[in-house]
Amino acid sequence: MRQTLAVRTAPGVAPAIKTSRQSLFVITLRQLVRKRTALFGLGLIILLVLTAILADVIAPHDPIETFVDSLMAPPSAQFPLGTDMLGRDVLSRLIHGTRVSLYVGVFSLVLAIFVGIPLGVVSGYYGGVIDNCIMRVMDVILAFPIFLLAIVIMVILEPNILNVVIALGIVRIPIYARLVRGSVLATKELQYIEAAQALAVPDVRLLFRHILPNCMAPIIVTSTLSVGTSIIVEASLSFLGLGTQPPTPSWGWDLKSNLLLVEINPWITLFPGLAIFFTVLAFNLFGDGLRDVLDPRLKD
Amino acid sequence: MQRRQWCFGFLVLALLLGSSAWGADTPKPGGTIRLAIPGDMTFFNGNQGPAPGYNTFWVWNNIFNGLVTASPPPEFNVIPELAKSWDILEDGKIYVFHLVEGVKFHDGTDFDAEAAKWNFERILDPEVKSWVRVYYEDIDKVEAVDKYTLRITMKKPSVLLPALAGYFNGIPMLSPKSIENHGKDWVRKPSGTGPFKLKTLIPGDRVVLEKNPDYFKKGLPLLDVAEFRIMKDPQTTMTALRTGEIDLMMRVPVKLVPILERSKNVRLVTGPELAPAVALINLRIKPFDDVRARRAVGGYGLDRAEIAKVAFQGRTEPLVSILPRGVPDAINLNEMYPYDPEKSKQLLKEMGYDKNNPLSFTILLGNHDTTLADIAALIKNQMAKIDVDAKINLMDTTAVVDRLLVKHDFEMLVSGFGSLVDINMRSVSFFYGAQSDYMGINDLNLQALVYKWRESLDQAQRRQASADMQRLLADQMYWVNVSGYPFFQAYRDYVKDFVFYDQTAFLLEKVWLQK
Amino acid sequence: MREYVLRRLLLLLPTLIGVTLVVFLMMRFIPGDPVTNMMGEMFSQEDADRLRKELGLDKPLLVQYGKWLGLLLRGDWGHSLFTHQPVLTDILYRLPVSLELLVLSTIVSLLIALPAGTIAAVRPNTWKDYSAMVVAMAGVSIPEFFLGVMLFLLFGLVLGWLPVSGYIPLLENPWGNLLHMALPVIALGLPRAALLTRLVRASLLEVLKMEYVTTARAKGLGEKFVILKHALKNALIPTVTVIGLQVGFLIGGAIVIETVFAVPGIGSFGIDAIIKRDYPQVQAFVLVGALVFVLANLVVDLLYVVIDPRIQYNAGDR
Repeated sequence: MRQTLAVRTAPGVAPAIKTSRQSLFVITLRQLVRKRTALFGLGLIILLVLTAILADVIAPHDPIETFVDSLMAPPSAQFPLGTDMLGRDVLSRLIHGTRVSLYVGVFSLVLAIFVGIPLGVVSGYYGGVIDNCIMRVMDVILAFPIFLLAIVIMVILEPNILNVVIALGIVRIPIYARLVRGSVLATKELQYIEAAQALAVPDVRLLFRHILPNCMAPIIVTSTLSVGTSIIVEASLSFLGLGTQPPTPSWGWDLKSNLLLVEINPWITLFPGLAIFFTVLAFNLFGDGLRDVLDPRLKD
Repeated sequence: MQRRQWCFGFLVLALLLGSSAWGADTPKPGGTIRLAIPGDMTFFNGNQGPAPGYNTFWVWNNIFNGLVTASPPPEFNVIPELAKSWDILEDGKIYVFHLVEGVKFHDGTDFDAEAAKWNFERILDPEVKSWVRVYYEDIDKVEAVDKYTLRITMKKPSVLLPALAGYFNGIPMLSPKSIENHGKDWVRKPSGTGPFKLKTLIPGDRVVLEKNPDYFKKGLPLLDVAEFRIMKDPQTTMTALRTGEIDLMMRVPVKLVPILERSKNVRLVTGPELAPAVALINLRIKPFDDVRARRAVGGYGLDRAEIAKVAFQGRTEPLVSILPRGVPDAINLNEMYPYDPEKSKQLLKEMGYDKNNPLSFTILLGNHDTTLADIAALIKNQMAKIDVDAKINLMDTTAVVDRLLVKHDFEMLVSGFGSLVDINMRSVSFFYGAQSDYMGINDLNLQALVYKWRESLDQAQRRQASADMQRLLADQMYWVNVSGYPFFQAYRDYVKDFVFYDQTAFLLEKVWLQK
Repeated sequence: MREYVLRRLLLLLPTLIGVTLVVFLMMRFIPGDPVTNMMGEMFSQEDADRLRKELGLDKPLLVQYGKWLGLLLRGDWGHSLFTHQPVLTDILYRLPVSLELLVLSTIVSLLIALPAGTIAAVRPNTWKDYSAMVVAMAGVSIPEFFLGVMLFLLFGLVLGWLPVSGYIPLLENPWGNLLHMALPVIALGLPRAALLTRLVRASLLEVLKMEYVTTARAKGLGEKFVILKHALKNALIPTVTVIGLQVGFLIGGAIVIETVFAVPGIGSFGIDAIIKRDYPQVQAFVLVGALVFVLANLVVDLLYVVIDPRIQYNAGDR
């Protein structure tokens, strides 16, 4: 029976035989250290996380405080990157903006993983009607234009960052479900699993101890790459007026509201744009590095 | 002999030069004007149905005429249009309009008193659900005395002309046959008497109007075609204007004004504001039923000057009165509520609110305008200074409309509002229980003043009633205005004779292109 | 094969019904409905109720849905509650615009990604590889509306090379059409190009690694060519998969580009419908979006056979 499922998983990553998890982790780490770009990405991520946590301490001013006498002021000692149209310190807003972006990027991921993986495992392992039902639901979600979902959620529930997270999380669930399901289906057939079944190892144990770890690699890779996309989507939603609430400092919102004045003062638009760029870049570099490392490992 | 020839030649030359210089300002007929309009078209219904919204209104402003119209701001005097003259009898109980003769609708039928009567009755007919019906409820009956004389009898002596002239084109004259001919589709196939006819309508893309060669004002319009392109992103629109892809931008957001001011070949127009930026407080929600809370939050606690300076780049001024400064009968009441955070805190303390027990409320606003978001952010900060905790709740426009107009479920609403030509236009909000009573105002004195206004044919008396209403509204802080909301339009310098009417009208009949 | 296609089309139905039903219900739970929008300031409760009755909005939800479905099966997509125009007319005008945007930007992406990815894979770890990767990495990290606005400021305003807005139908004026579509297509195409370049490179590298070892005893240069051709075919599979998955995203995601460049496509049509609560339009938009997505993936699956005849269709296969 020819398997055509491989083409549906993330490209370049194939399911594989599980080796001892501990040594995999150590070897991964060692290989990762050798890749400079990935290290750079990781370093940047750590820097961003620290910035987000220590925002209140590092930022020179309160990001929502208006300095009425310094509207659109050029950079100075008091305002290292100048102020925006409402007289708010650009640097402080950049620093605090890290929180929103990371929050959205990471937690939408967490939601997607915690719902998507179990669904994928169940679907792949049990097959049959359950599989069909779950996959149909996944199709329905995938067929949703993301912005439709975002508006609706924003409008039904109280609009805030949490709901952007939920919206983005829901949209990603099918990706993880499908990914995991593919891996599960592939490994299910493997002999040692059949052997374990013959030995009457309970299902749950089977799922979590043996099958799941095989999917780790593609999940990890997809995850790090998704964070970047989530951040960009949040910025796009803000551009359409559907994302974070003002006056919460958000790079997406600042990008949009300052864009109108880009000719008068390009810098206040450029900085949030660059912030988004570097954050996404960091996650992409790290994710890429991870993939390069985990991939050849698993290919043997 | 030579000298005479020389003089003669000189004279001819002077005449030629003079006439060509003159010729530069002589209206040149012909051409297509391309306008950028920032929203979709809704219904070309001449107010005979739901509200069309400003964008559609500006387009059908050029397709329909009313019996009378308003002169440009700041006066807004009533001037004849399809009615060449009128008589007011019995102190305003009876109005007799003498119509212009020989006018035809775009579909070829005659405009006469019967047609005019039909239009009036449509607006008054509850089945038609006209959104302006509420302004004409004092009309008792409408009769066509003869082919060109229309007689309107009011229930009691009252004012009629300001509404017909200035409130959203009043009662535009539509061809009665157009509904017969087109059935349900009539809102997309309008037939009026105006300078332009509707040629094409592509939803989401453009509306094209073409010249009406039989327009009753001879010599007008000058343009052949008016093409309204639907362009929602202001940045794109502004760029298109600067590159000459479009000739006129119908609504310029305040933030883009500095850029357009510096652009070559582009003219920016504005005027004293007719529309406010509001921070309406809902009297139905405690503690805002107590005037002290309203005065603390909406009166002394708002630093209006800061908002005018920061959110509007100083292009407007603080506004306490319900009427923005461009409205003819507006009076300046700013000294009633100077910015005084100490006084606010004192009033709140009297009511039991302070730092440990802060008053807390939510600011509601739509997501279509970043300036409103800026205002809300500033208000939140200002509230913090008087120990009040304000949260911001941004929703999509329809949801806001639902909360404001339908459910009256909000605490404070930050929004722009429509342009006013007088206080009566806004008076529908002063009656307790009316759907337009957004804030839940219940004040019999106010209602009495409204009736007084509607019954005063003498303009000075109306002014007095208006001033009294403004004072009462400000004193009780029923309607919280923050500042004016300036309105800008921009066009290329070869667009000539464009008259700025603020949002109240958009007329192309006299416009021509010097190209 | 025909059987497979038919089965897939049949499986489409529950998905489509699911999507449209969910959207239908969601729209009803959002505050505000079309009547709210129509009434405007001079709102009166009786008028509103009357209007609702006229529009059939007062009937029970499932009845309304059933009615919509019934009309749909007869080919009637309904009429806009605002313009009374048949929804199908609007869709038939707006959908081709978006499709054109989609197709052109995908072509642009492929035109960049295939050569760039191939070069990078064939000469790994050289400056060619690194530069391609850096640019690709950058491309994926930029929000596309940012790119869009920068592009039109540069090419539209500063250089004045390209028009910044508007749309001319293809049949009316092909050259004008392409000129106006140039900026939006580039804005959409470049980030996709970046993504696809990485993909092509990654897949090629994989395949090349395998094949190279086994054909190390190749006869000469000619073999390299064959490897490349064969490798490319394999690399196309994941590429095509991703393109298929992206279609759904593009329909919705192109909204921002459509808004910035004033392109009358289906994305902005959908968003407007949602904001105005024009229910028939929203249903139609979601239906079309879902259809396009599912059909695109079907096409992708069929393309697999063309690319790699080893893949077959099986019963019970997804």
